[in-house]
Amino acid sequence: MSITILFFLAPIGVIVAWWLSQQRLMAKPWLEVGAIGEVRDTGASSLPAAPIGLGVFLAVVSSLFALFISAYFMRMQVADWVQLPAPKLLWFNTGVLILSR
Amino acid sequence: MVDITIGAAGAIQPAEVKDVELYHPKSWVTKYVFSQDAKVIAVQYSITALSIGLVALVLSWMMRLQLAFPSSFSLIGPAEYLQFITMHGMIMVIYLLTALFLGGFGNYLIPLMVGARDMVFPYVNMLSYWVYLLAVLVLVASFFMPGGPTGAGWTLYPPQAILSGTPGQQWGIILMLSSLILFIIGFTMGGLNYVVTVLQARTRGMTMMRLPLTVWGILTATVLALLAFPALFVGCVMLLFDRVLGTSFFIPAVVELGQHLKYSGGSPLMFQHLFWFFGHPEVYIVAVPAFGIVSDLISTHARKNIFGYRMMVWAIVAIGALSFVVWAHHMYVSGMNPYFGFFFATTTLIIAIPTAIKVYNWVLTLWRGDIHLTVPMLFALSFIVTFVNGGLTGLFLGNVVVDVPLSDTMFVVAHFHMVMGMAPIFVIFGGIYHWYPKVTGRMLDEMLGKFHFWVTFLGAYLIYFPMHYLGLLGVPRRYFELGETAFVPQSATTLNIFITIAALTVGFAQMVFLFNLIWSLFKGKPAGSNPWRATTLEWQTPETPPGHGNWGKELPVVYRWAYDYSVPGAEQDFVPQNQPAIARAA
Repeated sequence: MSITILFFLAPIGVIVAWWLSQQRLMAKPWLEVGAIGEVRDTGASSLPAAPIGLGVFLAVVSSLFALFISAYFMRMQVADWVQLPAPKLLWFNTGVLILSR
Repeated sequence: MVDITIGAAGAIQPAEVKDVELYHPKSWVTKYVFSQDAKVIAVQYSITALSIGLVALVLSWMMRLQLAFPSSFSLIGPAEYLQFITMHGMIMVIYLLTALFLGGFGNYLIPLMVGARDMVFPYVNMLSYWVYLLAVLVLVASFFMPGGPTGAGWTLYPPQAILSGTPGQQWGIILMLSSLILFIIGFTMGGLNYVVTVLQARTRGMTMMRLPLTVWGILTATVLALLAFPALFVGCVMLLFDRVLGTSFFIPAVVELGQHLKYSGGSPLMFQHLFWFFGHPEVYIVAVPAFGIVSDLISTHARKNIFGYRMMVWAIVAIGALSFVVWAHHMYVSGMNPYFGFFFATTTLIIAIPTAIKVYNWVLTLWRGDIHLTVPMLFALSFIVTFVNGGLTGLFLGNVVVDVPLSDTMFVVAHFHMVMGMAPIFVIFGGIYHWYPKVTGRMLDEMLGKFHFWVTFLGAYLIYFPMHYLGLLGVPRRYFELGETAFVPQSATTLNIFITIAALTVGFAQMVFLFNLIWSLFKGKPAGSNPWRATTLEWQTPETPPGHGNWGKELPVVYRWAYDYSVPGAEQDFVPQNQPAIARAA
């Protein structure tokens, strides 16, 4: 499980590291006083807030799914695991979901 | 420089940040009850968190009374004792500290400190509070259900959490798990707001490296929480399935009272991994906002710029990242692979490096500062001392060989109460004394505040220093009473009485604090707009308390970082963030 979680965290870490690298973390803000009219670019994305919020939410949901799936897989490895039946309807539903995109 | 835009004749360029479209309340109910204003939501969060925290405080008195005077109180039996410790722990960690730091301070301070009118998703923000309130009510309901609340311990370890020997097995555990699931849903709604508001709604000129460290702390803690809470969510859902639907995710084959239960094959260890994958970042979800707030309090009240701002930001981010790879240091005695212990002990000790950087920077900020021993400053200083004390015992417990004999003793209880109980709560108090004037327009009474501080600070040490000693003696935690235990001397009982008296005294001081909160609301000295002469944007609002939309007609423009105190040549000993430099000759 530990390994699965670390695999999930790695891409999140890469995204966070990439974002941080765009934020001028090496700046010396104490030396950067602007005169009137000198307005620094905040570094915010040009995208509206809603898609960014959705992106953050998807990261949370992915975390949820990664943990559910890894816990489920761990449990499957125990000898008494009973395989759940996969009715044909499941594949049909999955197909409809893919097509709905 | 390419990223500076200069308007014609010194005029400011048109807003680069779109104003948040504000919802304008049409009635008293939409203004004060179902409000979408982050400031009102912050107050709602704070009042709810403090109220439920008061319940947890009373529960701690019950526990202390039992430990000092065993079997003297008929309303505290063994089952009730376990229920009290469980509810005390869970309420304090989740429903008070997390909710107050992120829901309370986060909602109030983020929009004001970044120069926004409100959170970016105000409606979702409002829902966040109401789902949180529902979570609290579900939790409180368990006190009134048959069997009472769960007594599984705040870690809710299976299999005992759902077996019949544990108090609250009937309804308590179901309501606890449901309440946690609701809390996480509510928090996620709020958390999305905090993150996206910091990312996207900063006002003109407010770069990330000009943000006050409070905002960095809250932002980092929110990211941690958004990624860590799902682990608790998964654990709660699966445990709920085990309890209600009869699945066996966490419950192995169990013989209870001579009978085989229907469970088999589940892994209790898997729950511990899920719980602590959330549980350890949770320590930092509470600590990192405290780091940020205390940095701002120290800088403001020592009239000095924060030492090593960049290093402070990096340290916050590093601590946040490392907090995800230390969780199994809570599980050294769980029976997990012993090689893991070595890995997790190493990562645990590495986290001390960025933490120590922060402590040194706070001390160096104080060095030769113009220190004003105001109540917020006293609490900030007490945080540093207490956090260092609690952190040092963490070095003991982080090492496998030392942790094994100390596991499940009062030493552990003393350690985590110092490091993530008292230390963050000192920051909460400091923060409340500091920002109360902005929220209400009135100062909290200083004399009552100092009384509150000294009793709480000294009391905390009178409670927890002796508790370390009890732990070293081998006194176990979670025990209803010690009875005739050969290895625990009689003096331990006397010490327990001493600790209880100290705890009740500290509890009384909190009543004084609550009185101060209410009394000052009506009778407090008018604060003015910037009583601490602080630089950050929340103190530069046109109205105090800030009005709807925070900034009047125009958003502020930021020209400098948040720590321009005692700048040589400046008229005053602080320069607000929205004050430009004096125009240079061309």
